[in-house]
Amino acid sequence: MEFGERAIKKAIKLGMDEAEAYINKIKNVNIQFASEIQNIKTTESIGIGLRVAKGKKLAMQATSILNEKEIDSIVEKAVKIANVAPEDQHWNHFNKIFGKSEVTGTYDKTFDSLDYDKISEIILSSIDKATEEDRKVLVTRGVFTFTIGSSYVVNNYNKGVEDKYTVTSGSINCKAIEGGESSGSEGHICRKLSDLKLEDLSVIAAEKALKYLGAKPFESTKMPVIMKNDLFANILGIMLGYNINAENIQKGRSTFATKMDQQIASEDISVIDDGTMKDGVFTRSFDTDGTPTQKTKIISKGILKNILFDNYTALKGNTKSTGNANRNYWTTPNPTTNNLILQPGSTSLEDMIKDTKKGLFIENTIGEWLSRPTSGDLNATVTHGYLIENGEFTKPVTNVVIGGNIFDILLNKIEVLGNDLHNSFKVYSPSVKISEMTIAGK
Amino acid sequence: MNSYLDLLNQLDPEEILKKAGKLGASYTDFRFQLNNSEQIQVENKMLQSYQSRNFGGFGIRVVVDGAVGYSSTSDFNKESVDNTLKAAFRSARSYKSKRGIFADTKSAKFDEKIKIKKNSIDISPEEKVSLLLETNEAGWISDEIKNVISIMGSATEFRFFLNTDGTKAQLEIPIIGMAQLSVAMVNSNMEQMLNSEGSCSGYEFVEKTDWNDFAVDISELAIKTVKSKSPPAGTYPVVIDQRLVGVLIHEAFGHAVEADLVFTGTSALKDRLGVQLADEQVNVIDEGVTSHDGYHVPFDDEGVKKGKTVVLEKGILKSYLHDRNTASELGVEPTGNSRAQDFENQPQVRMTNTYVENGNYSFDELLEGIKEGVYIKNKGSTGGQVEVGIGTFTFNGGESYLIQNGELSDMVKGVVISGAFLENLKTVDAVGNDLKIVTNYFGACGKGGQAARVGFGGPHLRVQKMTVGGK
Repeated sequence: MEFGERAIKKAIKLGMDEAEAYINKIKNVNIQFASEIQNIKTTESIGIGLRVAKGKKLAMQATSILNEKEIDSIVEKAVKIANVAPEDQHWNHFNKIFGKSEVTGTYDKTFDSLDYDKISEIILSSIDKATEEDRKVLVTRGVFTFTIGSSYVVNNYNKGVEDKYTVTSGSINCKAIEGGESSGSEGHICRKLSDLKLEDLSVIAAEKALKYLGAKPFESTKMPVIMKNDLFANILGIMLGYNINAENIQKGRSTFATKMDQQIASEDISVIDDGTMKDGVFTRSFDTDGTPTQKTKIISKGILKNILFDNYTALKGNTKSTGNANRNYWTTPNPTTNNLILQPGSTSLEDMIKDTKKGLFIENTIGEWLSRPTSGDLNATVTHGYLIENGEFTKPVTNVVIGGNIFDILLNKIEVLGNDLHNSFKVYSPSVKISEMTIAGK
Repeated sequence: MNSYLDLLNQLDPEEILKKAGKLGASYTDFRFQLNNSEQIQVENKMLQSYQSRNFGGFGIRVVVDGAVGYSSTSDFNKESVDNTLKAAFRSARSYKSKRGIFADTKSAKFDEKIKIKKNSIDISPEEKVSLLLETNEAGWISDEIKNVISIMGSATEFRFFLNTDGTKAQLEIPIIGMAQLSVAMVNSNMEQMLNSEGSCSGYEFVEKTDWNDFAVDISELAIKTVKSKSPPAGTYPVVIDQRLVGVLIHEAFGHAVEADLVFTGTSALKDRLGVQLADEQVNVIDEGVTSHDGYHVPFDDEGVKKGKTVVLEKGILKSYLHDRNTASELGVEPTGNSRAQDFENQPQVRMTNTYVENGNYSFDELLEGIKEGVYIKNKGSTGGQVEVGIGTFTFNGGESYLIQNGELSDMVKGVVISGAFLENLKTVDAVGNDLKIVTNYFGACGKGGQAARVGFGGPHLRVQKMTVGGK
């Protein structure tokens, strides 16, 4: 941390008007396994990112090598560049007032003394669980990770603030070994070790691999689609997350600039971004600008209420930061979602399926991230889906491409919101029923 | 700045290997890396960011009773070396495994440096920024353009490897790239188009190209895209361009021949050596250093020379790609495909430059005989994804055109192709004669949570059956 103060002092001494240092430290244990443990690695990462401003001229330098000689040299290089850089006309200043919000559930103390033998035991038992009850599957890939991290921000206006956090993630892929090619995977990411049940993930992945044996594409058509919670969460994060980012809006990369206070979704739909959510995957007491996090209404009863700001975009837009700055130590901040939450409805997934005469239930897709949030055009290839006929699963489906437009879906096509809120990384969503999507098949 | 040698000498790698031996390791390797990079971004005619990063550190891999432990840090003091070594042992001792059994290789010495004319880091910031400002300006070709980004990225990477089998290898490699993004809006419809070019060379790469033309081209394409229609969804014959062939062969086929994925059962190509997977015209190669462009991998991160591996010969699967562990498991020679993203990651089996060899067809001959199909280029594509387990892939095409009666017709947008690759491979019925191999500063190959640079390419290919998603 003293390196941050050193860098700022030196930058100011060399004629800079402002300076800011962000330091990120990570201790990570990562275990990879298949039908046996394959390797265990530990990583200690540290890095400092220094940003300096001379009037409206800016530069940024970062390094993972923390010694005095290196710190002094990155300051000198940043100063040299800031002195000759063209002005950023939209620059105001670094965050002048730091703060912290009240958050709970961001640090799990059991991470301080991880018992490797016990972790190995959990993994071996999870591998065994996959094949219990005579399931003919093979665990083909699994990852179990534990991260302890700390974020530290300091600038010439403020004393440094520090936040420590823990994150754990687990994922398992299984493959059926009889009756054809079929695989299944399940994963979870959360803050506390006790919330990650690797053995349960293993059973779900194994059952999924078997359930989808014999899955096939069908003829191209249009039909209703039910998307499972974590899948829709993922899609919402990609498509909505992009458009509520103030930088994308200010730069003309999103059409949301013209949609403020307008109906962009049906009345049943409300979305918030909550950096203070209890146990939330991305909950933190301040963002990477040192701004306290908060709860921000994004869509209320279908009306676009707010977008997400960091310090730079807020000052440029003459408003206040929503505490959404996010960055790596080697990049400049960008206003991205903290925990984005689509408020659930009251229907269970079972009922949603039961009430569907004909439709496609989708658990997993690939390539959904290739969709184009600018235009809202959504495409994804279904790897794990089930045809629903008269309220029941009839045929497993794979290799069909679904298509639609997210703006149209949110406004006109979300027929039912489930009651089963679940996360995909930092986006939380219930399962949803969409009245119609295009399906490209055989 | 701390130089590569300053940092390396502080660490005394020979001593670390000795220490590990005394602590009971049957094998140890040490990898050190320093990557100095710079990225300059101009957006909407203004300098958006000028950032540099020095990323350096080391990792130690030990084998104890057949189990592998790996630990890394970017902290260079003495105490940290000991802690890192201890952490590697702690990992290796907490489980049982055979991943630490390696195929024998001859000890080797490598010292390779790619020669460049001008190091991009030495070019003045003013010169680079003004080039980007001019490029960006050129992209504003009409009122329909709403956002233009121009980026220059460059890096020099030093890698050092030492192991207890007597291999010592060092490499200095530059890479540089330019990227351009344009967003166009017409009648409140918005589309963006992205393109990038890169090479393992110095600043001379930037100087030899007219980037204004590059910028105008992307903006024109963005406007044409927003005005064009999606193709009707369905299954068609398609012709794909060199870059997309490279991407597809890498993602949808190449990963499936990586022996680690074969042995865990992830890959659909287990027990398929000697099997005809494609038409006789199709040859697939993985090669460390090619006579075309591409990435430069003279040896891998286990210090094994990477030569030319023939993967598919006349359509028959000839070889998997190996690291020392998988080679030992199959009783073959390692192919030099053990690669790590950086010092924070241990190596895993990964491709180098993967490409389809030239065939006999000209581009026009590939189009001939297609009554209704699609020509798909990679330019403007944002990538793709593969489920290696079942061979399902999906890719986003870039600039694309309908093919009608053997000729290119209207441009189409939003082309998404998908399928089960082994099925599609069987329907490749014509291979072009215009091989190109490329690499990319801005993109990398992702696997097992790591990303590493690769080269990829091929000639144009015709595939008789491909699912094309649209609206």
